[in-house]
Amino acid sequence: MTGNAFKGLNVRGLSVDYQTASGKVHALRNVDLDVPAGAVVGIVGESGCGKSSLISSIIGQAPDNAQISGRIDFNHQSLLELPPDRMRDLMGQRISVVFQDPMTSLNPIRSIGRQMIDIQYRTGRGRAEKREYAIEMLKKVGVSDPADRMNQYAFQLSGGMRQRVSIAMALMARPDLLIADEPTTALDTTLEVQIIRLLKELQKEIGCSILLVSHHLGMIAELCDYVVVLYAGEVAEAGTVRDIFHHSLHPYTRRLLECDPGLIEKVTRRLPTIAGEIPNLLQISPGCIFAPRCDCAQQACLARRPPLLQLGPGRRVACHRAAELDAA
Amino acid sequence: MKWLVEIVGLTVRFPLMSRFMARLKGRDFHEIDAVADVSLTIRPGETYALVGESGSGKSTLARAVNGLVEPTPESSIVFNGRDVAAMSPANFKAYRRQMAMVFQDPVGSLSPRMTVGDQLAEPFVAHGLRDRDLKAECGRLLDMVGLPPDFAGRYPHELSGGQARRVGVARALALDPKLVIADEPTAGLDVSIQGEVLNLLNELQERFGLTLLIITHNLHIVRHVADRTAIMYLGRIVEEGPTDRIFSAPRHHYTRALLSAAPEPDPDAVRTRIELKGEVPSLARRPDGCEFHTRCPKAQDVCATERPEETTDGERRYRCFFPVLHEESG
Repeated sequence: MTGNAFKGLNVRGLSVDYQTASGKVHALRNVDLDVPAGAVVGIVGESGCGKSSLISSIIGQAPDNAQISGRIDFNHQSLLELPPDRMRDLMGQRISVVFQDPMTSLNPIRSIGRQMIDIQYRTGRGRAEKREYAIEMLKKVGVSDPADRMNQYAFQLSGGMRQRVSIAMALMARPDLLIADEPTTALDTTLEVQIIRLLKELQKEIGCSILLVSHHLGMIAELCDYVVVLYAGEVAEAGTVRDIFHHSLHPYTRRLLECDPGLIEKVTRRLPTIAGEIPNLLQISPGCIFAPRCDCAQQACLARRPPLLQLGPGRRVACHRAAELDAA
Repeated sequence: MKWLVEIVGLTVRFPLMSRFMARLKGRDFHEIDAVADVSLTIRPGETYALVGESGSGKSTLARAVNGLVEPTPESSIVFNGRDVAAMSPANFKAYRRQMAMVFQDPVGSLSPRMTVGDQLAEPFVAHGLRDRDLKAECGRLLDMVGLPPDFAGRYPHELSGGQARRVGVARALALDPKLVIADEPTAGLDVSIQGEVLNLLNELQERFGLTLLIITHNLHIVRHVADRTAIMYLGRIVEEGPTDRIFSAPRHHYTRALLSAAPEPDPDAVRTRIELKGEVPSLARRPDGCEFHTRCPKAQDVCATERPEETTDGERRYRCFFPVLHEESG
């Protein structure tokens, strides 16, 4: 399989329900998502939008009470039907993940070197060779004194170094797809910039696809080719990064961009907000999921769910009024 | 009164390990200065922002003002005309009522086992004001932050992040403080609701003439909410001034780098970014000379050996031998 060119990740009609004591939580509903080979796709989502459900379903780590339906195809291979051992092979080699908090994703009681050597168990390299490769990867992600770091433990590294180490580990197998889940949330601004640049450079060099999940609009704008806006478990809008940031069609995206203080040029004491709360996902209303918070909502929006309109290749929006709002 | 808070030469020192452990391990006894010789003044009714990355000492500074950590004996914190550091504990408690803190973690700073109503009543109990009608006070506070009265019966786990934040603000305002210290008021909140909290603080400030000290690393919000801003690096204020001046014409290279670092939510933004090398040095190994010289793109030899004194330029002050030049400041 390694010989084949990567054909991308395609998610179709993905729904995830969780059976809980108070009923069924419909965390994701009918989500479509494409990550083409070599592309960086960003998922914009605030808390409760279902991004964790999406990632855990893709990597086969959904909780036991999750009921998943739909398709997740990786390289035209259905991940949801893959037997566990094949899934494990795929995960270590073709898909890897960088999590939000490097302190919890690194093993606290094993040295960095040991962890980096251990995860190469599939490669068949000799021990010295594995060590050398690990040092090379550390150098590549900009870790200073890589040979010395190999003997250190996660707690001895600063936050930025830790995140570099987890990126190095994720890219060691030269995966086809890197999933980055809020990779800079735990970092300071000046480090965030360094990590964004690092991801950009490595992506170019390795040529992998990246699925970047973040609520940080600045980071999405800077890194991504395509953007999917997720709201309360549904795709509100999808398109190229310019479509979304310069020509958004869904009222939620528009409001979200308006709320970002980084985009407000004139200094103001009254910052815009989106009134209301994320809906309860135990009972899904029959109308548009964003309608209760939407200032453009009409009667039809409350009564009927808008279909996800296909406006062009990869350009989709779920809004009854998208066309007239666009014209306005 | 000109100043509500006047801090002169504030230093907060923490031991790296106790004297006993140091002797046991045969190491020298070491202390680090989390806040190093900081002087600043806050006017009544203004919003003052402290900006810095982790480890810059901004939270420690706020805690020292609030009496949660003890500064060195040379430090002076004058609040509302009285020296806080010299006060006896009993006197301090009375003074303490006039300042309140909104903590960083909205849910974590509330007790999970107490209802919202009980937590809002706590400041009154702690300050011996039990005789007030606590129920009415609680209703008043909830109303002030825009929450319905029935929230008094809820537990923190029943609140969203934004609601928990509002409860934190309500609790801070319980005893009509003069100064409210908000530590990262928007951390962990979604973009769509972070404005809510800032608008609320702003509204309450106008209504009650509050003075706000906001601690944050989010420069985008500072630009909108703060009257004056101080940038901290390794426990020291490297630049301070009116917010619009700091943003339009930073003098310190660290300020400039910070401003250019914030990723702009525009895919076509032209980024003239000053990327800093490496990370903030450890406080235990504070660099000699100007603390920023190890990462400064414009550092020269003198920066590594001599510490720059504070330069005052109108309403602004900064510590740099070779400040950023701007045409208008010529």
